[in-house]
Amino acid sequence: MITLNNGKHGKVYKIVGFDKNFDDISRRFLELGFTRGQNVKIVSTSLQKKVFLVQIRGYLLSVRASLLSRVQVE
Amino acid sequence: MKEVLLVGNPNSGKTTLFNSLTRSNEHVGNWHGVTVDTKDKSFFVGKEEFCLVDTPGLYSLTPLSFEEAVAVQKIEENKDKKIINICDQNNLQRNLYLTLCLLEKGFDVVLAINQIDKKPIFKVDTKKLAETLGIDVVLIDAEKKVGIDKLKERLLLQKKSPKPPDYVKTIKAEQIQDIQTLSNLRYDYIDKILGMCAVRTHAVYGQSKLDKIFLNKWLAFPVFLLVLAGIFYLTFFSFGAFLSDSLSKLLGLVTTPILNFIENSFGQNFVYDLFNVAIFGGVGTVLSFLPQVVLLFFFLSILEDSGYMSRIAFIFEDILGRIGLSGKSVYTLLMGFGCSTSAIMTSRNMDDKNAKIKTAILCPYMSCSAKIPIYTVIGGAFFGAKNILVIMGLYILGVVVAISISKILDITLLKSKKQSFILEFPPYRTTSLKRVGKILWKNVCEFLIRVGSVMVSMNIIIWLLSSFSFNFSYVSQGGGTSMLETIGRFLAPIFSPLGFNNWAIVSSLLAGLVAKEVVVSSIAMFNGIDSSATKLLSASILLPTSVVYFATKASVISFLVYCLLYTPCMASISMLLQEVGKKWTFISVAIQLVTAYVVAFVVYQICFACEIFGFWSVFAIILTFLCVFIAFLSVFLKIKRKKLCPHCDICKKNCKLK
Repeated sequence: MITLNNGKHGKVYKIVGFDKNFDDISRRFLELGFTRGQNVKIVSTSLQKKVFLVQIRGYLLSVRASLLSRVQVE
Repeated sequence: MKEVLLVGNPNSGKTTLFNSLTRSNEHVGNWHGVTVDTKDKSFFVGKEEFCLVDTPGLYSLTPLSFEEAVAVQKIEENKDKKIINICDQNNLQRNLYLTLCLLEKGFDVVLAINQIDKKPIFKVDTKKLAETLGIDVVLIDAEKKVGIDKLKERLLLQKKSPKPPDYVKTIKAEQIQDIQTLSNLRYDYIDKILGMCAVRTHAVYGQSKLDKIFLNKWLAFPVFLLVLAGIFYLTFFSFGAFLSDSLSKLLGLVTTPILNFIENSFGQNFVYDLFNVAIFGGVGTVLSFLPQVVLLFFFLSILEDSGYMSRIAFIFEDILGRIGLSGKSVYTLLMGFGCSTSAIMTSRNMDDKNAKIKTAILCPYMSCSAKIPIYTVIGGAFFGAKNILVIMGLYILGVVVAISISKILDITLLKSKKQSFILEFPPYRTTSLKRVGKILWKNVCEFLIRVGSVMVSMNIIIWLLSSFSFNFSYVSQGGGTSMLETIGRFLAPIFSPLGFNNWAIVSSLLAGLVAKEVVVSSIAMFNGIDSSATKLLSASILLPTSVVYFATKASVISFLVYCLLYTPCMASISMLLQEVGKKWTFISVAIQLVTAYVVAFVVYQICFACEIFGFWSVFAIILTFLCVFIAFLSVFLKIKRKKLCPHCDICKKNCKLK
């Protein structure tokens, strides 16, 4: 199990859950469809890999990498 | 009058529907967070009047940013009102999440599914969906006004008894508090109902082959710069300059007969001067820049509609994150090139308060469209065809100053806290001709109202101050000292180190505090140039006999830099007051005035030195100073580093890693 910010470009991961420090950002991820068992694909990253472009539930979302450390995937 | 709320996810088409229902022309864009405040307008369905309220975008009823809090507050104010929940047909799965949040709380909801694209990702059986959810469902096209009548009919129907979604009955009390379980239940339910009521294609919403270029690590920035350069070239030169010249000639044709009539009727007294100098001279000069201002807004709107803004935010997040801003700031800062006042308002879509204040404070450094006449007239006089380089340089200087101020604020007063950069990628779209027409019409109207109200009155006030002395005697044509000249002469020595120790230039800067367009119109007025002659006005500032006269290129550049950086207008100050409060507005204005003075001083001294010693000599001196500075800095950092803890490089003593 890894956190999504450590994921590789072009790979698909399955969401396992969120880290212990569940906060407003984690809640926003849930609202956006990052629910347990859902597949998420890393479509692209910015030049310094500080922002990820991810595909979830059939749409694209750009997210700061540090925020994705809340999302645990496998 | 019944209140109807428009609620939906960001970029689902709420404001487009608001415009269609109320026949308004509110600002829309293919981008997250265009609407940052509620707005309302009445409309009729048959004989019954409704008040439609447009709200900022939401993902759920638990707000995360300022504008979301505004929307949730509006929804929860009164539970009996009707809510039009607009959903994007292409992203129905995520949009329905908010619908379920509303239904769980028993709101009276009408679901409007907005068919934005011709080939939607979801094909929906609205009848089946309506039966499943127990609410009215209407398929609409907000832009083309398809299904709007059906939607209006639904508003007349009485409230149905609220039917909460199925999962609410089975949910246990403790599970309601567990947002993870609740979200899973909501999305499972959405998957279930979409399985029954919709067919989905395999397309990914927002995905495009164009992103191979626009998001390419090596091409993204050059492409962005190329797009900006293209916009500036078309706006300020080629097409924009041609339109401005044509309008200028047309204005001359209109005003000359009127002035002749006044001259024949009243003679060349103060009535003639009032029309010739204050009204036609000043206002007419600015009016001839209408095409350039409208073109700039037009290109910014095309950028917004295209879906490229989200890509720009994505590629800039790395850089802006370093200076304590968010990629979302790009939209606000780009809007600043159009109008600082409206740009400051859009800073509301920041999630972090410090980033919001920083973004709002930085907007005025993005050179707004009102400054175009200053650059074109004053810069054009000295630099001719090379003025494009001067203008581009000024725009770049504004950005560099903004970055520097942001960095300084980030390490001092406004340290960045957690930044929640989460941004949806909309698909690329083209702008319709109808929308182009609306944008042009709206901006023409706004500009004309501004010229007709603020600028006419300001020019008349400036004309009065410059034509009458403190004992109210008419002092035109050198017959005494006017009130403005007295004030200008008192303040002029302050600007002497900047290279423009001229009372009229200082007075025009003072007048520019009301609106930047007034700077050029007051210069035109001081030099007695009429509306048809922007080229003549440019020529007049080169003549030593003119009231407003620039002696050297260095003083012109210094003046342009000062105009770029000092307080843009009263409207922007009042907007800052509204968005960031008294304390930060005061700090912001103080920073603007100090920065403008210091940067203009440095630029003037460098340019003046270049004029005397030559460019390469000054370049060599600056380079030497820079090398010495860097050498000292590196030695200082090395000494400081040695004093730090050898284990972690952060603490000085009692290191836990020892």
